[in-house]
Amino acid sequence: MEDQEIVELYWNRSEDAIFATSVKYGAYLRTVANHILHNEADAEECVNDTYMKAWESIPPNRPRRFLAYLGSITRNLSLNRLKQRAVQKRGGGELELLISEVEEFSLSVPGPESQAEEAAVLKIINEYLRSQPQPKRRIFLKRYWSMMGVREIAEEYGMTESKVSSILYRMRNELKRQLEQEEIFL
Amino acid sequence: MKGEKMLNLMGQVDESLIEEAMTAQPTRRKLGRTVWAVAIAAVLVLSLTVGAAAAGAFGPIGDLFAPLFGASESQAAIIERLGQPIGVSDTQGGVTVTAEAAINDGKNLVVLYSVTKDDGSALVSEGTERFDQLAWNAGMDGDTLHFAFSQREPNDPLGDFDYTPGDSTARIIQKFTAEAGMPDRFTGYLSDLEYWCDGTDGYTEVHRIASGGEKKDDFWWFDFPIVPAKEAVTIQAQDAELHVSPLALEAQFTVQGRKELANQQVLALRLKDGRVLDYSSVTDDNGIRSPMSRAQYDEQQDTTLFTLGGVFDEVIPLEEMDCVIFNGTAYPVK
Repeated sequence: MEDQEIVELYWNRSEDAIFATSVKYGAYLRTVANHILHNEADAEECVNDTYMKAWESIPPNRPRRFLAYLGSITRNLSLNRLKQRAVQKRGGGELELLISEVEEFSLSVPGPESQAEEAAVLKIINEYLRSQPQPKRRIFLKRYWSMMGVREIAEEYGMTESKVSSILYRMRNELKRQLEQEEIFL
Repeated sequence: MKGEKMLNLMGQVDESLIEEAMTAQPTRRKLGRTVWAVAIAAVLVLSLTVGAAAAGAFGPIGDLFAPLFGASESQAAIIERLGQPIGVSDTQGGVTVTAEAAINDGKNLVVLYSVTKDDGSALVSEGTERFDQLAWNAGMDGDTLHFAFSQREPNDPLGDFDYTPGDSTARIIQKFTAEAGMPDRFTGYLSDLEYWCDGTDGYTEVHRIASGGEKKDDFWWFDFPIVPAKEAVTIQAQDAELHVSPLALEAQFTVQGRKELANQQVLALRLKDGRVLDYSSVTDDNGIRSPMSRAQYDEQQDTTLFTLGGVFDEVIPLEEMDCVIFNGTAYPVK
């Protein structure tokens, strides 16, 4: 079934919408959640919550890129759950590592931030990623959007872990320079 | 902006980029022909030559090496301590290669080169499909240095690279091991810079970037003094001498007569975090030994000196090492 047909089911309030979503994208979404949570039960709950969020938000939304829309919901739900676990001292190490990595470029942007200022930062990130060769921007997003471990990315791309780390290291530095050049003083 | 906020913001990057990343088909590196091509090239090169954290945070040498040889603070501190800037360039055929910096531990030498086209264009076009790796030839004047062996790809002594198609600069590192003590000068060359792609028929496609010329005089040559450095531990094992440094692990032992290396010699470094770097020597069905080893026959003494081991893929602080395992016995690294 085409994405827009599934979205249409949501708009028509047909419960087939959730079934169609799970058939087409359930595996993808479980992968996204599992990369973040490393726990199949938690991942399954986040995917189920994703369907509910999609049901609640379509309409009024009519996503043009349905997979990315769903993926973003799953990512946010999984990230929130990971933060809860970190508070409860259950497996927050990977989250701390990720945060320390993004701080290498995020700390060059002073805070606090307004929505407009966040949008400016987002625009720079988007432009930077678009300027990168495809394999590099995919690796960057696998790490900082999908929150995959370096080892998982290395296995998926047939690279060494040190190679993936070096690509990410260089990209973080380049993005830091881009953010500094734009002089976003918030 | 705090990291947690940025991590949330990363969730809002353009949906087209997310979709691309989510649906990307991984490009796995193929084994088989490619690996053997490298292995055979390695043997040929050897047979010809053995006879003959945040940018700016680590200091100039640490920053140069960080993407290829270790990006933690403790690694960068070692690189700064053992490193030296070089800055010697050679240009051939519109391509400039610069020996940027080197690090050595008194026995092993790692040289970092940058490669750029003089017209500023990409060495390999962005979007080149099935890009696998950069490849090059290297050689030295004299026989005081050998190519060092790598544990990551034990049949590939060619070094490592940091490059993605579309980039205008490649950084490559070449690892050497001294026959005895580190010489006071390095004189060596690079040539035949190529990129390899996985062929659709399972064979490797080889594309020339620049040759550096047909004659040896036309290669990219580098001549620079080596600043002496030393940071290694020697462990006297029962029947071998084990050398371990932040750059390399090596076992040397002597047997009577002119011998081939026994089929399996167990050599490994166990780190305190539980990782084991295995340099055990095994010969496969094709007769390729991995990792490679050297054997030197002394006619006068009628003995054969074996050397096995390799230069690491990243700097490893000595305090992170637990023990060296050689033929069933663990020797603590103190």
